[in-house]
Amino acid sequence: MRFTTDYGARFWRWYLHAAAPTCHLESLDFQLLDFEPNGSLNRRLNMLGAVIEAFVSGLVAFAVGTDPTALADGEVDVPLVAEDEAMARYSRGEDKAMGELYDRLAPRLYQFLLRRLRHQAEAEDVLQQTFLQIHRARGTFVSGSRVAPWAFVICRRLLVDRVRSRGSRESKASQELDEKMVDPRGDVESMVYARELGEQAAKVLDALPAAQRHAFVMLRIDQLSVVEAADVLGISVSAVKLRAHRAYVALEEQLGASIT
Amino acid sequence: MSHAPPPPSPQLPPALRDRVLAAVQEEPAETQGSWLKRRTIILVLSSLGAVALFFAMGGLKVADRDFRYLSVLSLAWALVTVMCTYVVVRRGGSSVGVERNVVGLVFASPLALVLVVLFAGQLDPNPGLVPRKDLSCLILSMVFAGLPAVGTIMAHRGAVFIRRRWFAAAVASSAAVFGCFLMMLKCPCHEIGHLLIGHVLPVVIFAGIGWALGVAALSLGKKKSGSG
Repeated sequence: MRFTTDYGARFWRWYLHAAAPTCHLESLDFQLLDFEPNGSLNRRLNMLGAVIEAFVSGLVAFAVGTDPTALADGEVDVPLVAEDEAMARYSRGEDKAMGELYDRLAPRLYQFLLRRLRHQAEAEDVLQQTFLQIHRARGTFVSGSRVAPWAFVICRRLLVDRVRSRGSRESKASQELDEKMVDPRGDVESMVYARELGEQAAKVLDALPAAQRHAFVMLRIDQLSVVEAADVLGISVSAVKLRAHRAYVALEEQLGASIT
Repeated sequence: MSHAPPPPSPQLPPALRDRVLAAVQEEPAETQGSWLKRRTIILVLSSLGAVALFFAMGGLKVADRDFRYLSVLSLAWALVTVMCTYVVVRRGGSSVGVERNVVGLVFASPLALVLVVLFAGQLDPNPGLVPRKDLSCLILSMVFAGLPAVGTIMAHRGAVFIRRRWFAAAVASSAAVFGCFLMMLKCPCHEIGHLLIGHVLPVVIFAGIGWALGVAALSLGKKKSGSG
């Protein structure tokens, strides 16, 4: 369980000490900041919301008789990382944090775009639009939440718009990128083998149901965590795992041991 | 989109970073603090607008309603309203929203109101004393709910949600629960059938409208990317 605000975590720890001493504190994900009694109206509203949230969670846990800090079945808690903190700072108005955010997010988003658009200039263009959209929507970012799923949702929507709009140019762009992407360091034989295997895998992937394909690609190729992929796809963690597993089994059946 | 094999991909061009940062600096954007302030003001003003309309149309009508019945009904209804608003405003602590929360709200809010009506109906000493067959309550409930619904949707325009339709449906539902709450205070009829049609059905109708218009209502529209 993750609290959306630092005050929520602080209050929850107090609540656990005062009202539920048997709960395990270790399972909490604390991101405490110094308490600011003279903070702005927004911080105070935020604190009030967090207190209500912690209180409601406590009441629900008491009524149901469970530990509210325990993760749901199949849920994996991911601690906040530097990019999340950078986004939180950026959303609060610290403009310099955009550079840090770009350095951490852009390579992943770029690879994500490049694999799908297969055109360098277009990928760069959509990446720039993604960061502009992040900038425009920064006020709506919820502090304490993960930025990667949010950024990937924005990126994915822009990508879909781009693919719809470009239509028949896709095949030409794909060929152009293939030419650019030949690795000059590899020997010819292994390059040819890798390419053939890759093409075979791509065919199998394309033949899979879209839901399985998306889950597999996000986990295995885009390197998203299970929780992030679940957020981007809008499904549960268990569903992501199941779909990716089914895709992997299908790939393994079709390609045999060569993919391992 | 085909998923081609991942060949060694080109690195991010260093110039792109400068281009992105320059484009971002050129365009002013609201910070979290100002957005939260704006949203709070919109929510409060739109709710106060609905309340002002409520009083302009005669306000609370106790009529022959039993005090205990009216108190329980009002408190339970207010609790459902607060819970729905809380779910919408907090967004589950996630920037993209939590699907199960908003979908749950859309289905649970009318059911909760049905339970409230049925439960409070048990306490009513004079059920069906003031029968009503017109649809004025249904229409007025939607009028009261309209302002908060539009205000909340407008406040969230441009936010990134994983399920925009469901979020808009949840917003519309919670606004309708509030509108129906106001109408329930005004309407002296305490016949269960009337309460369900005139005071609970608007929640379902609003959820449907929110679901149908959600994507268009929450989108900001196309803007120039500023890309080179």
